[in-house]
Amino acid sequence: DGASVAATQRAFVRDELVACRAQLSEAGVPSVEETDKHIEELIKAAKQAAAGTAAAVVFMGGMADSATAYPIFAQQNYKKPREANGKIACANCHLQGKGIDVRIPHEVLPDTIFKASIEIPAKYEKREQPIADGSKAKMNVGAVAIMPEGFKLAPKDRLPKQLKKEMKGLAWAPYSKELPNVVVAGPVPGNLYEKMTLPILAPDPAQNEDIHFDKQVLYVGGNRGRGQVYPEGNQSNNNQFFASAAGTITAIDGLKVSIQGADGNTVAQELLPGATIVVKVGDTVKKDEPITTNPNVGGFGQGEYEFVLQDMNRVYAYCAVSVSIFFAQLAFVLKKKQFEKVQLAEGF
Amino acid sequence: MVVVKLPYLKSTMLCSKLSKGMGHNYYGEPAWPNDILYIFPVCIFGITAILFGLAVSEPYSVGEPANPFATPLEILPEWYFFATFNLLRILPDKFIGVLSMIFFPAILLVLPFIENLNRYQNPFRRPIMMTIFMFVCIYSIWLSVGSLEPITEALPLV
Repeated sequence: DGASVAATQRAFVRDELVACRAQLSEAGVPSVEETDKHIEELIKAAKQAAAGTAAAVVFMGGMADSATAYPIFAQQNYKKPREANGKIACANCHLQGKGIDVRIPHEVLPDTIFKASIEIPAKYEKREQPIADGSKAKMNVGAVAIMPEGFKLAPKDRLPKQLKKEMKGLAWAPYSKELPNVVVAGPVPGNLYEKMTLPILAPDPAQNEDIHFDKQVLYVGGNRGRGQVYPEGNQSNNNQFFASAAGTITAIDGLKVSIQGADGNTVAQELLPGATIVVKVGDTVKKDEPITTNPNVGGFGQGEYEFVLQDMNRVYAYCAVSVSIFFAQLAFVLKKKQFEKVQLAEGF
Repeated sequence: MVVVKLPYLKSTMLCSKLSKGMGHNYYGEPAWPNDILYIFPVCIFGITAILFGLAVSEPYSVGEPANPFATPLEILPEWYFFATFNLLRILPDKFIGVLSMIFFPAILLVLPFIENLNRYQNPFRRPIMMTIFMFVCIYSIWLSVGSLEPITEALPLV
């Protein structure tokens, strides 16, 4: 698995940086700052290798155009991944909505490890998305999980073998130093990690006063496919393009569409490779009318999933209460049946 | 072994009550102690056990503090408001929407007066009313389920 993961990602420098980051956290280097420093060093090295500013620009472009979804973009641009209204930051750039399916236990006990299985369904083998040069490639997936306060990623040495196997080598990394309860994973190949397993360690309210036996909420966001907007604000080629002005199409030259307006001015609109142009020369278009197909086959989905941090004493107490209630009910019915005999004997 | 008192139909008082549709608590199994003392606690305890169990396994969750500047992505009322909530967001006219809310209790209030035409109680003797009732029930569930869907799929049969 690891080898194929590496093979698919080798093509893009940025991916190597992300993979590097994942490896670092895998090796037990927890500090995000250190990882960031490492990434910076790598960027510096890449810049030196490319020799000069021009090459650096090319590198930046290559970084922006690779065929994956990036939790790291969120990490770099959003202090908290979840907005006040509940929207997860990924949705700011991954504009298409597509559902995810998350399964977690209904109740968990303190200081135990449980798993959340996050399914990001899509037809990964069949549906392909455009990558930077417009050619098609398979989709990658990424996910962010916002665990309740005090919950954290299960430590490696406590993971059961079965769970380790289920994770298939997926590396979850903390979102930032301030938010150890928020973890991210990806980008990883979608066909391999359609179902991601997140091992969570429940905290113990006996050891931490801020944790209570209570209902907890897990917020999960999962995405497949490339985004539509880059952190710099420019749009990616995984987009549908719209006419920038009203008028008649006078020329289509490769990816350059010229639109002549009613006032005679011609607007040349540059499209990005990936989408198919659906207008012909001579067509009349309104402003903001789509002039290409929508090549985006991915999408982002999020959800809230509740579970209970259960106190076993409550369960024991409830068992005691319900058993005593059962015997009380039994006694009432038996007593009634007994007294009915008296009523009948008295010739009611 | 059933303790039952038959209605004493020679009593003019009982007969006049029965003719008004009342007096049905003058016969049958004695309420005290058979029901009130023995069976009532069984039901009360049973309900208590169910509620306790749900409260233990599904405790009430504390949400986030109110934020007047951020509306949550998903906002729903309590489940028993789902049907009227769905009507409110489906209906294009706000006034009709509000009327639809008032109609729920209003129709229930006038129902006994409309129902007066027919003195039967068994639903099989009141086929029209039973049909309407079944329709309203199914339609309410339909609307309630629709309130959980996005508005484009809100089952918009108004």
